[in-house]
Amino acid sequence: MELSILQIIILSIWAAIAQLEVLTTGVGFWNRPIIAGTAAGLIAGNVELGVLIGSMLEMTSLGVWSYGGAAVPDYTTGAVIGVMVGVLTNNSDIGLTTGVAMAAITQNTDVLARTLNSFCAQRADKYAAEGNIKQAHISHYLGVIPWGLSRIIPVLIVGVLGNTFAAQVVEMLNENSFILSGFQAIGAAMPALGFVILLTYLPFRKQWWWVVLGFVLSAYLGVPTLGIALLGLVCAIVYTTLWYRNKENKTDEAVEQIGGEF
Amino acid sequence: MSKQETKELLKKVYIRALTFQLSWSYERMQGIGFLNSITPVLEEVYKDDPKGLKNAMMRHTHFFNTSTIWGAYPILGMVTALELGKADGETIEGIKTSLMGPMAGIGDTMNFSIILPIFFSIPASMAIGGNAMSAIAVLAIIDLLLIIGLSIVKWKLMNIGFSQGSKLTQSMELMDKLSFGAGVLGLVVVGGMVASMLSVSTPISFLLDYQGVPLQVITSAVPEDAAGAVVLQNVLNSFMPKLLPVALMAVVYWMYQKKKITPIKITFILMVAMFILGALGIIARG
Repeated sequence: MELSILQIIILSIWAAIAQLEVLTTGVGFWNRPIIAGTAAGLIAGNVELGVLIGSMLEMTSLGVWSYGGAAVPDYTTGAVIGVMVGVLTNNSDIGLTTGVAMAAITQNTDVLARTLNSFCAQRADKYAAEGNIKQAHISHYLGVIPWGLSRIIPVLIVGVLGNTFAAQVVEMLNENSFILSGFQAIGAAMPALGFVILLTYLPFRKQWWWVVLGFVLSAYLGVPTLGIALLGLVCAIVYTTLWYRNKENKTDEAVEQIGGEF
Repeated sequence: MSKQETKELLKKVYIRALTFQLSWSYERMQGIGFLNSITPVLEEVYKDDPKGLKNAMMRHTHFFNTSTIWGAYPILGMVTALELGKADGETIEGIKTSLMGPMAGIGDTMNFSIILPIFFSIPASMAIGGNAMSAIAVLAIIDLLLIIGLSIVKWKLMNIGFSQGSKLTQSMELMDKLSFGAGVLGLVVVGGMVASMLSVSTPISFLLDYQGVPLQVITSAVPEDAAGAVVLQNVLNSFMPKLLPVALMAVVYWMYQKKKITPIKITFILMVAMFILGALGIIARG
């Protein structure tokens, strides 16, 4: 399937909007691959493929978030490009693999934007010293240019190249089915990395048994995700209540013991 | 200032803070965003004092970085109260720097233990399970609820920060409990996702005494007339369902946690290894 130039332009602008949402209101999490990818699928004319690739990238990138501004792969741009390539080749595994690779590549344009924005800070310094509120506001808003362009340009480049070469790539893949098997295995395994990184942010070492519970519910009993989340909620409420009650009791006992010695 | 006037002022700060991270840079991070958000307060406090305004504006350009939802709004509320009370610049600076770290920690737990794994894994599991349209519907509803809910949370946190600092520590205790519980919930959900979303399996089968050959290894479907066929995946399943996903998790965990390999390197190791295993027909999706 081929995309029109207009579709590619809208996709590139969407990549910028998805990133800017988290930089502005920050309440919609549009930079997450599942949302960036689904909307990209809608724009590219295959929303089902969009939500599928977005979901697989979401699982792969769980726990990948810029803590304190550390450089991390840009999965937002990766998701838009991944869905675009997925639609062009009509293959979700190729879309996923491209998305992961492009996330790693566009990390560099992300770093560039974050560096160039020093210009905003210095411009704001100058006007703050003059007490010029209006110009200070403008300095802040100028940040939209590096942030936006660092998303728009990569999507445009891959979109134009993809449109040109997608047909040849698809033909080559159809002739060599083992390549598609390889991509399928990548697609099946990639979420493992997202789960592992997420585990390291959760208290996995201290309370690993909760993971076993979730696993048993799904693997042996076939409970769907929402059911597992609800049971997890019950466990969380009961365990947290007991934990904090126990903590309070301990401090009370300590006080009593000290009191008893006198 | 009357109650109504302070509410109007807080509203102005809230609206300005809707672009909080737009000028994010390595140099100052959210510093200029903070200045941009607090200007309505400075305008009010220093309306007859241009020199004071300049000083105050320069103070607020300094480095600042915290969680946007859970940190920036309560801190903006507190700083608004302090600026209106004519607190001295150093105190305000101290409050900003001492709170941004802990609030970022709490905020990250909220975002990563609750919002990302739980809210987004439900539509993701639907999409991966083949229900694209219901996944989209659920995703749209969840995102709408997040937008509305978190917008209200931000306003509440800002008001708590404004009305008094002591209440902020109280709500931090509550958030501490909340993040403890969220950790439990997150772990249960991840356990389920390992089983339901990591769909690695093996297509290998062994054919015994088929068409005169004592032992054959095949990666395609077992022929119907093969009596003595052993499907490897069935053997693994009888030992434990989802054994391969668990093994994969163990390998990736070992690489990340014990060998300290960076995620980006693990990504490429996984890509190359799985491509080869998939192309050879040892691992497949299913």
